[in-house]
Amino acid sequence: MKRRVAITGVGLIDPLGVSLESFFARTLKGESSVRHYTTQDVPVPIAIPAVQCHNFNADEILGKQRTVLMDRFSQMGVCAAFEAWTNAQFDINDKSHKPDFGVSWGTALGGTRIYEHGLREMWLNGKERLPPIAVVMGMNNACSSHIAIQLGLGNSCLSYTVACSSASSAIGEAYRRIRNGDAKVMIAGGSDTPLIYGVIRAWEGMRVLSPGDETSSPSACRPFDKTRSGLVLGEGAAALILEDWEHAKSRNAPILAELAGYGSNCDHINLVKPDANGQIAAISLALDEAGLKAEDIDYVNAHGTATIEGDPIEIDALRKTFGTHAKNIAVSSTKSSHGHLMGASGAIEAVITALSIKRGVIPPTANLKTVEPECEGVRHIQSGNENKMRIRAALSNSFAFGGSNSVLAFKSVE
Amino acid sequence: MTIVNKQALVEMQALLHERLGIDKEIITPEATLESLGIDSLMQIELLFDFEDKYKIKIAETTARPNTIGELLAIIEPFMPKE
Repeated sequence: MKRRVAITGVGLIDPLGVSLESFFARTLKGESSVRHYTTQDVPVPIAIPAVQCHNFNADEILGKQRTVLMDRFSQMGVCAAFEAWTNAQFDINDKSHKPDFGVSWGTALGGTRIYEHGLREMWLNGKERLPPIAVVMGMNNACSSHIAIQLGLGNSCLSYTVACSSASSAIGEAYRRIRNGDAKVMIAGGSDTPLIYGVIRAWEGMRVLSPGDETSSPSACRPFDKTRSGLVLGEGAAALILEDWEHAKSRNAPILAELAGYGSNCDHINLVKPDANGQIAAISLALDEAGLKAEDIDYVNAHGTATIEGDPIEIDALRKTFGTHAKNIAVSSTKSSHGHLMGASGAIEAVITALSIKRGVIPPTANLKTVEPECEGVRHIQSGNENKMRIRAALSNSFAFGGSNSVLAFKSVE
Repeated sequence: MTIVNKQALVEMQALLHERLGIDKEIITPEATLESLGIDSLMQIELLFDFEDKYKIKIAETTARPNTIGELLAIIEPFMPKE
């Protein structure tokens, strides 16, 4: 028998360092956390619009003895997981062995930061080697392992690296694990810290980063807009507690929403060019598994990175999947509020989608002023629009370089 | 009382305080590594830090130190003489 999966807690790193509630309130208002990010790096200082969690202080939250062995992506991930864990009414001090509890984590870049730091020390400052803990700080499964160790989680502890679909895939695979009866509780989410010199320079070379200065950076990311000019990198982490429905009920846990379906596939066409047919197939897989019809979907949290090429393809996929119902579906991309968190983007967007369902409110696409004609055909939610509505079911899309698509389907429990 | 090189102990206290936030007062030669939260991985990192700082090479050893004093005993022979 397939099990139902409840979302019983969520957590994230708020870029402005306040709280989950503050973050969600700003997102609903269409406020952006994007700022002008500058460094004094050599050989050339960085100056781009980006989302940096500059107030994040892992030492204060976790203590130095924990953080010394963690790269920043692990520090952020553990903190987000702890918040979700606490919100699900579990105790972060309970380290007892929990064989039915596991971790499923997404990261595209993993511990790239520690390796870049070590390599720069060697090549710029004459160091002969990297510190030995770079091995365990830099491994992509470092974050998931730290979460499992800190909380005594003895079920599977796996990490997924699927570019921008990493966290969505991790959440989807965790969902499957509970649905199949292989686990009772899974901490699922993702973390990434792309504000690294080499990573930024490579993305600049791809010519998909939106430009901006001190004044214009908050509006640099404009998904679906006629004037959109590219994506904005962001660092961060988000986590969800996925729980067997009966397990959650038995302990009177708060249930935000039901995770009811997961579609995963590959375009198998091109490393960077998205394909509407692949996206349609992934959305259909998620709907089928959730037992949802097209008309049941009220909201889609879009992948919507604000690239010239990607946005129209996603809307095309939605129009073709949902047919005449497409114009009724509320669609927004929240990346203009929190940036593109790379492998963690699916996690922060899943958190936003779950909260939106629970509270009957839809976040707008910040900075969307004039809809690109090619992106018409759905009900775009813009800042200032009436956005309170009951959401019966929703989707969260993640479409990655490499052609891997991951779609999560959520249902209201009201 | 374990006899240790005073300079090495001071260096170890500074290093552990900076990296792990441990109060220097409790970093005594008799203090067990376990009580200070220093596991085998961190021991390797500390040896690395000492090697880097003093430009020395601490020989491979099978010794498994249990205390700060025992850890310093591994490091001391390779430290520069004053």
